[in-house]
Order: sequence, then C-alpha cells, then structure tokens
Amino acid sequence: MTDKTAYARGACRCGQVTFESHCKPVITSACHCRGCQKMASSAFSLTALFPAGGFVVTQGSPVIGGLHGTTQHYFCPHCLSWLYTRPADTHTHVGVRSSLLDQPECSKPFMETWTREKLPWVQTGAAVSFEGFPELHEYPALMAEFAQLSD
Amino acid sequence: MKLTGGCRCGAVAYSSTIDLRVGVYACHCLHCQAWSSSSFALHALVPGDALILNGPTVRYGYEEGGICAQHYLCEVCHTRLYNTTSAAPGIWVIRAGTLDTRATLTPIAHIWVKHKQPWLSLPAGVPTWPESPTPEAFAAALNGVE
Repeated sequence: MTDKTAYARGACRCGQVTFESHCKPVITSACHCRGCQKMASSAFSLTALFPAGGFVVTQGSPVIGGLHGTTQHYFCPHCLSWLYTRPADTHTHVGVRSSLLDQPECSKPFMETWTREKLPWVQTGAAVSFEGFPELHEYPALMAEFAQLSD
Repeated sequence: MKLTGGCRCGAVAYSSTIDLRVGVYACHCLHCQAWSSSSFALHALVPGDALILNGPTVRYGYEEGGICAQHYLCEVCHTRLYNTTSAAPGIWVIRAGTLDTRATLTPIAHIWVKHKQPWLSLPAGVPTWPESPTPEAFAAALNGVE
C-alpha cells in the first residue's frame, strides 16, 4: 500500500516496482566512477541516501544485479531499471536512484564523488566534490551541511 | 578506430568489425532519466551489422505510439547495452556509458532538454532541442562529427 504521508515516492520505468521513504534524504549525490558510468550506461549515477528504517518497497519484488557482491544493487525484474543500493559498509541507509523519485529536490546532487573519473564535459553544480568517496567519518558533517542547505 | 565496450561485470563485451566514428548525444527525456538512473541517457547510433556482441543478454521490449523498442542488457549485472527500434531498423542505439572510449566523447547534441534537470549545466555551443529534432536536423548535427 502506498502511504500518502510518505516524504518521497518512486517507481521504476514500467511501474511494476514502487517504493517510498518516510524520511527526508540525509544526502544527495552524483557518482562519476567508472562502475556507475557502466551501471547507468551514462555519465554518472544519481543517489538520494535515505535512512533504511524509513524506506519501504510497496509493490513488486526487486532482483539483484551489478557485481552481486556485498553491496547489493536492486533492479525491477521486468524493465530492469536500477532502483536502489544497499551498501556493504552500512545497513543504516539505502541509496535510491533519485531520478525515479517524485520529489525533484531529491535529485539535485549536493555532493559528487569520484570526480577523478568524471567525464570532462559534465557539470553537476554539486556543492562539494571528492576525487573518490569521502571517508566514513566525514559523513556526519556532510549530512549536517546538506540538512542546513535543504531546510 | 574499432568501437569496443561492455557491461559493468564483464560478462558482456562488444566490438565493431570495422572502424567507426560515433557521435554521442544525450537524451534528457523522463524515460531516459528513469532508465539511466541518471539525469540523461547517452546514445550513439551504430549500424548493427558492424558489431559483434559476446555474452549473455536479456531483452526488455515495449511498444509506444506504434513503435516497438527493445532494450538489451547484461543478464548478470543488468547494464543496459543497446536499444533497437522499429523506427530505425538495423540501427543499434548503443548506450554510450558502456563504450570504452566514453571519456573522450563529448555529446554533439542534447535532446528533450525541456526536461533537463535544472542543476545540470550543458557545454556552450552544443545544439539542443526541447524535444526530438526532425530527422534532417538531427542527421545534420550527427554528421558534424569529426
């Protein structure tokens, strides 16, 4: 069941899988790494990172794709849209592909990662940039800055 | 130069049998945003009979407005590799993020920019269209590829 009080709702392209978050994103980002370029078949991937406890798949049964490793990438079983990622190093958050969400402010990347592999012509306007990923201990400050900007 | 590329996990790879120069274009339509997990899709039009693809693929097909489209993806990692459409028989629409040379390719056109994400800046001087260009205008843009 879709909850009308959810903060953001999303769906794959064909609509077989739907999901929602009851919390605001803690950070939004674009990742320019070569892996994301391949997975997106484009220049970068877009993510809105949500607390895992507030994220619910409301319809459909996503399947695993990507490298089938400890970081789990979930896809629609029918149209094979890349939906969300459960990172290996934390179970507290879910990285949702923000282009699937009904909240446009979720897709504007506050942070961009792996700029050392960025396609040269791409300009996302992200407020903060990292050549790789930020260290885990840097996230609280980044999240605080994001929260301040998005309030 | 031979065109080469492949999926994220390495199960599928493709290469051209002849030298090909490709013009990459970006499509910012809402369908492409959803399927790309990004703010646009990157495409390159290639004659399908000039490409050899090895590895397991799955197909996702749909019909819209009387046009039948097929997407071909890696069966293992689900990277979208190329599309075909009944509107352009024999053409493979390669998903250019899978090209080995993607870092050297700058899009020569951006289409459906009426849905472009507002935070994304496009390089100056590149032709853009609010929706799809006419085939003639699009061919002129693509043929400008050096």
